[in-house]
Amino acid sequence: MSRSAGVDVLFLIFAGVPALLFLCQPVFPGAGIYQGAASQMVFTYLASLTKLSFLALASRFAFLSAGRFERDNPIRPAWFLMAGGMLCTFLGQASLAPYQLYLGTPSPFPSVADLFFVLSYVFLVPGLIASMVAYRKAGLPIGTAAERWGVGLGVGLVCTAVGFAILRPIALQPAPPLEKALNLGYPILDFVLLIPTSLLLRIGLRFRGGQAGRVWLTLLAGFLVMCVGDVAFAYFSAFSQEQLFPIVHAMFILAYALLARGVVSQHGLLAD
Amino acid sequence: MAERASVRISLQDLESTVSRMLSPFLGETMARASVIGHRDRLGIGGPEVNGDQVRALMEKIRAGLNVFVGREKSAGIVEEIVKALEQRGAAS
Repeated sequence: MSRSAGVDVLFLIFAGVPALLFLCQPVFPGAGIYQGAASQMVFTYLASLTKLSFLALASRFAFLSAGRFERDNPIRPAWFLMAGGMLCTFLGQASLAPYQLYLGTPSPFPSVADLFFVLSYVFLVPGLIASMVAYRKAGLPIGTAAERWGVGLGVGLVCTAVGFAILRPIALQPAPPLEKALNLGYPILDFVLLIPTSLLLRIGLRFRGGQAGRVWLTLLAGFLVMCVGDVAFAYFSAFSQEQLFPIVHAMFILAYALLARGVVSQHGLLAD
Repeated sequence: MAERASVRISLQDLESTVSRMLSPFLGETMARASVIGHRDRLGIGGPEVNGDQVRALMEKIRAGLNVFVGREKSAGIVEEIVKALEQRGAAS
């Protein structure tokens, strides 16, 4: 087995098994594994520590990769911005950890964690746009400006239509202003993130079969799953569907694992 | 390095060799699209390609690889491609 395949297996075990356990929870809520206070505590630890581990790995290797690119390399700022976004997501998750791991109380919402989560978009969206700019500067065939505008506008229109359908009931639901703003804000920020993600995905699909494709397709899949997780969280939270939160945990575990895998692959590509 | 490419090679051989050697990094589709895109932008045509044209193409390829693997590794990959082109050029 190659080193890369070995790392894949590790990611599959450490992300796939917890994600599967969380996905099964709403389907089989009466199963013995999900019963009892001790079991609940184990699952709380599992969700928190798995997410933190993958985010720590993602941000560390993203900074290492950014640092390995030369100062005048056009992709370097993009990697620093994405690393900053991953670090903010880690800090947001870490600020929830005391509630989850020590106090044993439900995580507050809104909280200081949301400050970091919102801040992460300030880095991630420009990071993805900077990646596209770097591709263009490097002379890679990324399609014409008209094609890019077409895809960007198309995705924007779909997001607006889907967003309206998803967010309207959330907007109409009675909730404290800040909570409502965040429940609306996260999916909107995700839709904004989806536009450069889709543009890069379109380019990234042309890289499939190559090591660069492996890095970017994994990374972009992580952003896509993260968007799905955020929308699910907003929906379940607005409609008090707490029994479905394990699905959100599964989504975020998978998203952060994919981000970490993509970033580790990029580091491997630079370090080999 | 690309500067020392002094090879004369058929355009078809150039495209197939460069695409094949870039594929592990860029994937088959992007490797081929990259070579064709740079070839067209540089105006490289004709049945045979000279050393200057190979150098110009390799410089563009190196810049493209740079954003994925960094300068040092992209220079190494380009050097390998140039060696392969020289061997093909010598053999033809």
